[in-house]
Amino acid sequence: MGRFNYILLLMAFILLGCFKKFEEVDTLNTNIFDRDYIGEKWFVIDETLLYTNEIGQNKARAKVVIPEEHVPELKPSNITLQLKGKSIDTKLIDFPQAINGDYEGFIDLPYVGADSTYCFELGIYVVEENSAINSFEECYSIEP
Amino acid sequence: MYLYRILLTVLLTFWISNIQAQDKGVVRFFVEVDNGYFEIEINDTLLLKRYKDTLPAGVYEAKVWSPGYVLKRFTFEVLPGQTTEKHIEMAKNNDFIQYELDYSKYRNQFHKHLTIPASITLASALSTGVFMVNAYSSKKKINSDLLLYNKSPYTLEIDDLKNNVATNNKKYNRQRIGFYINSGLTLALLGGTIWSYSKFKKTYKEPTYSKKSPFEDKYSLNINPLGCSFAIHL
Repeated sequence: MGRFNYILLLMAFILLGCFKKFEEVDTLNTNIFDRDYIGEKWFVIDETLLYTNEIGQNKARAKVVIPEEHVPELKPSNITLQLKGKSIDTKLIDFPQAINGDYEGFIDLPYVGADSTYCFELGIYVVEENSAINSFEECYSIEP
Repeated sequence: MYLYRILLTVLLTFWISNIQAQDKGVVRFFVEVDNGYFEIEINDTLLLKRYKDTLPAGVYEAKVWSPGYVLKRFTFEVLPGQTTEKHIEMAKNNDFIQYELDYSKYRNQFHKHLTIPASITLASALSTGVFMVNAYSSKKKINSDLLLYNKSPYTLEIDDLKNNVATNNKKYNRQRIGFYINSGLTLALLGGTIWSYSKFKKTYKEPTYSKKSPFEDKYSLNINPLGCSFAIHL
């Protein structure tokens, strides 16, 4: 094989490496603010407790945390989530950023007993559309 | 007395030059040749390489030559104080006609084997370049949008970014495919052009034609540190 053929072969390899296919385009679903998000549940229940509010009502409280690693790089100071549940009205809950970088908030559901399971659904609230995306359901119980 | 001498000298000089001017005439040659070059030998002693000269009045015999033309003899008369115009038609010699035909064929083959393939290769290379620049531009936009996607906490902005990425990715795929196809084509054409030209070099030889003047060996001008000399070899 002559030198010219080697040069041609080398050029062909260089050219092939120039413009590779974008694999990332097919996997644009990793951002929790993306309506096509297909990742894992982006919040966790940190602790649960029986809580009595200012007017004396008992609530099954869950401290919910959105770990920092689930939030995109441009960290907002607060994330608004939409809470849905069987026995509660749909409402919005703010999750401000804590000192450790995580986002923390509390879910208070009406307390019906220690043996009961409390379930809710949390989604990322989109203000412009007044709706939630990427909702996940979670259940917890209160330890007696 | 001194002033009288000066005046006499000036008058004498003027009178002599006037007489000389009256004995001479201008001749202009209009030689019909394609190449614009000719040499005229006058009375076997004077070689002219210009179309106009001043000569003493009289009848002259001359020969005119131009590369590729048959040497032609002619006569002309220079009249004192007048301008003579001499039109000379030249005929091409057979060797030169054959040379022109051969050269024309050679150039045709040259264009067929090099100019045309090289032009096509160049056009292909340019279109490859256009595809490459466009693909690079789309790639840059996609990378920028992907970076923003991973940073943005705004759903509507993410929608826009994804739309842009999808649009630019389609363009990018078209452009990179165009780039690869054109690159392959350009390389193939480049190889073909080189092969074609090497074949041409092996097969064809540029025809030559001697443009040596028949007067070249007859006249010689030597200039050296000791002086200069002009010789006519009869």
